[in-house]
Amino acid sequence: MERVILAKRSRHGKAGLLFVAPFMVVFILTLVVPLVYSGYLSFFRNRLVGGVSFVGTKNYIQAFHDHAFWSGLERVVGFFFIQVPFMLAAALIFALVIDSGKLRFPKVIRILIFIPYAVPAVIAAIMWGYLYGPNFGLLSQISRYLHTPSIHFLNGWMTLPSIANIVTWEYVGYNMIIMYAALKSFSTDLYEAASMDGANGFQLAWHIKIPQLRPAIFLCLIFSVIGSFQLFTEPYQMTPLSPAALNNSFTPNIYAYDEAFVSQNINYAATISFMLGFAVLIAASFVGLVSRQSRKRAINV
Amino acid sequence: MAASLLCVGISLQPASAASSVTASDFAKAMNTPTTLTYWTWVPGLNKAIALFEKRYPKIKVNAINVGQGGPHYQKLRVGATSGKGLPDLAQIEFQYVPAFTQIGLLLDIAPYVSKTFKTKFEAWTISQVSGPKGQIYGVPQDTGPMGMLYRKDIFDKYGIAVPKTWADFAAAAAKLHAADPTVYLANFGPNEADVATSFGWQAGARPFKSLGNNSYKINVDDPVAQKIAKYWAGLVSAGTVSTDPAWNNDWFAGFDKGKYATWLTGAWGPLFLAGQAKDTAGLWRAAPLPQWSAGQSVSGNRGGSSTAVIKGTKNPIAAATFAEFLNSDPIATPLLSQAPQLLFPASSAALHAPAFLNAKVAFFGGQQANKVFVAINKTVAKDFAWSPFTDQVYQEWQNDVGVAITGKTDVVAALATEQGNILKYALDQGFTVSK
Amino acid sequence: MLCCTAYFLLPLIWLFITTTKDTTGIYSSFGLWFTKVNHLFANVKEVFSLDDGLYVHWMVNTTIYAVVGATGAALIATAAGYGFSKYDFGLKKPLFGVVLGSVMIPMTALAIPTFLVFSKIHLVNTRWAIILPSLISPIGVYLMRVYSDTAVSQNLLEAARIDGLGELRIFFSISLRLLMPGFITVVLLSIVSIWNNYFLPLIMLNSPNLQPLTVGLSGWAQSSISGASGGDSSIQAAVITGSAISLIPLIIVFLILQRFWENGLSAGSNKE
Repeated sequence: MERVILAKRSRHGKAGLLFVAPFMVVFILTLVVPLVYSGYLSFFRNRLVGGVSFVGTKNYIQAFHDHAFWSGLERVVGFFFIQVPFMLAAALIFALVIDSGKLRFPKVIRILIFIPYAVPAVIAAIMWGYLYGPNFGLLSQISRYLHTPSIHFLNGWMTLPSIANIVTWEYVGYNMIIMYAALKSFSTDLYEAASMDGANGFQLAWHIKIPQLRPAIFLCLIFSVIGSFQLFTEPYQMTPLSPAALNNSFTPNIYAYDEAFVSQNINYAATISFMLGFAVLIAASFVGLVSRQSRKRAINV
Repeated sequence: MAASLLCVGISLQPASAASSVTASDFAKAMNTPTTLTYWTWVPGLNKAIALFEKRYPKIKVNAINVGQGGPHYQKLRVGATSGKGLPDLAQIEFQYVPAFTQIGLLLDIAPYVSKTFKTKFEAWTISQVSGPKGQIYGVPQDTGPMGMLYRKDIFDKYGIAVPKTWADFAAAAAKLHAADPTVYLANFGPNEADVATSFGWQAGARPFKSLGNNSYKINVDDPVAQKIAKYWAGLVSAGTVSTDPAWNNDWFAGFDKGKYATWLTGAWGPLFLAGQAKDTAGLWRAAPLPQWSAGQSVSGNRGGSSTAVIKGTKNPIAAATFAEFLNSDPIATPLLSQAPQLLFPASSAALHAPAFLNAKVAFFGGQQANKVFVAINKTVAKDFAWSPFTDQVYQEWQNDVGVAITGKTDVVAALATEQGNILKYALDQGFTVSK
Repeated sequence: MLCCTAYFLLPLIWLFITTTKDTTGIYSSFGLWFTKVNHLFANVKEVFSLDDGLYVHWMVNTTIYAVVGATGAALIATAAGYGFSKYDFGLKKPLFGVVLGSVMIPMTALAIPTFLVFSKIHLVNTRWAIILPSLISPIGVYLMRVYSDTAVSQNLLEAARIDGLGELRIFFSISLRLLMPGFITVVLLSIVSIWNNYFLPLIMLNSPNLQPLTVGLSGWAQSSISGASGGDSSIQAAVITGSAISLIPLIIVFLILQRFWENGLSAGSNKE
């Protein structure tokens, strides 16, 4: 029977190409072509005096030695490590608490936590920009009222955590929903058995729910890696509040934008974009690898 | 009715014979229905535009604000790269004219403007928009002679005399801040590259000199620049000036709440304060900048713009005519010097019109502030030149020197770094450089 | 738990309260309470009249980009996912691998190259410049493949073929209906990513008339701090009120469709 079905699938196989075609056409136009063109551009140079010339790998060599690029890359990696664990832990805890059934109005709370995801990053940055303002922002108003020293949110070492706060605010709900949806799909048989054995809510979560959530957590992790490395909108929108801290090479994307439209080095901007792409590929593959390893380990247990 | 018909008849001739446009070319151009897009951040131009459209009914002008400064220029560059989405006219500040002629975006309007064009504007503004072969890349609109706007009420309250020298200024800063720790005599933001440049202009610095043929002398860390950097670093270290980044809501709130007692800026300062620090209108007065030597009388310029025509416009004659009209028409141009623009005109006629000179400006509590600035304008040195990559220079200053001054680190070393990086950038871009 | 929820609402509460203040009020009053005079009506009027009603253009644009983009994206992602799921063809494995791999490519890293390509083919500063890139949703393809595996059985297809229906006919009249919940999930995912879109429209669109709300409001925000607002117009209040107004339809759509969201996501996250 299996073989008959398989044979029938390939008979109509060509139709499959028809269904996949529209996607592939747009895919090629909006992803493959720019990628290839970007690669092509990265081997050239366009100077204010002298125009376009072929420079081989010079741009890449320059990028390898470019302190601005590497500090930006370091920063988004650092951003990833301070923002993502905190956000995923919070999402996990919220999902577990809501799933535990011990909360009043779980549906309302779930929705309220999720709402910031509906707010575009630009608007989130505008709002938090007002809240952070040292002279008259809401948070400094509150600290003045409480006679505590006002924090300069976008200065020195506080800059990255302050931006991380905004991104966390935006995405905790999204990650929570992914985990909550997963939790909802687990069978409750194990829970019943465990509570009959005397396990409390916390033990239930730690020993049963969380291990089963591994795939969901890794999914969130991959999305977060891709997102963190691309950080642009929030710091870019808030640059006027702290131009010294949020400078033109704060993240690789901001640096690429700056190189393209302020310094007018489009080719170098393409090079930076390419290097960023590689970095994300490496990081995401690494996470994928770890995820597969941990799954193998879980199966072998 | 008959009079306006007569006007229509007369308007089919150029206002004063253009350099190389024939009367029939002009008539044809001004009678072709055209909509001109004008990117500018100067608000409230509708009255002036209406006067132009009345004279030339077939030409419509759309003034659009696409951002001020950086974002505006970035959009122009994006348009230059893609060849699409460009306006017909754009506001270009003087310090960016070389940058945009370098990429060939500005149309040479010398063939289209009137024969008396050069006599209509202050001489130094003409040199700011001129090319080496007599090209004209923009119509000067306004200037920003640097002065000191100060809060009379705060000065009176703490017994501060109006400082005449930079030494006086430093002393006054200390006195004021000691009397009231929530008030500063001035603010020096880490992103105020253009202010630092204007201070240099006043003190005799000439960082860029074009030698023709894409060759430049570059000297951003000369002794004058070092003197200025050390001066402000000193005030920052003493804690007598604040270092809030400029041009954001928080900074405007500072003005509104009386955190800053002076603003060292161009004559266009009131334009911004009027909108963002409404509570302080009437409390400000205008005075010349403090001087480096007692008895001197020199200033620099900060900002000021021209109206440029963008290459690729479909009706260059109409565009150039509008640009010239907006900035030199006896009725339209003075409108720009009133609220809400309060522009300091580049047009000589507007500058010396008695109504303008003697106006008692409400924002300055009735002081004849224009007279003060017209006098300052005469003391602005005429030979200051810009690089063709001002964006890059300002950014470099901010990254190196701005950070050093406000972060209390070695400013001389920072200046040297800035010089090195700018030289490298210029060489990378194919320019020939020397010191 | 209550504290945490308050944290998520704080900026939004601040935002909506501030829509009732004018620029001076923003500076001088306490963020979480009102001023004596209610400027809400004046602010709303300002938002819709500023720059000759540019805000309305932005709303229309955002709607067009979101609806056309999301529906288009969901349609071609569903078709592709269905194709991968129900058919065998030579290039199937490598193509799907490429699609999956592309999830890792940061979209913003592609924005500048896409801008350059589109410049060459004169698509810059047009609506297509935004819609075309938003039509590809590799995650959507993955989700729809997984969904098709379970929602549309092979036997159903065989029965339809025996009845003489062509493949396309089968897809549109039978399969699509079965795939609807997944389809809606992809629509939702795409809508959020499109209305959040900032970097790409920022570069692609020079004419303010074509911009979406994100770019437009950001531009106003930048103008407000540059002081170009001059004497009368209070752009800051417009930025705040405009932001608040733009959130209302987003939040409503969100709340209505979020149930589909969870159902769709649970299909995807368990198939690792």
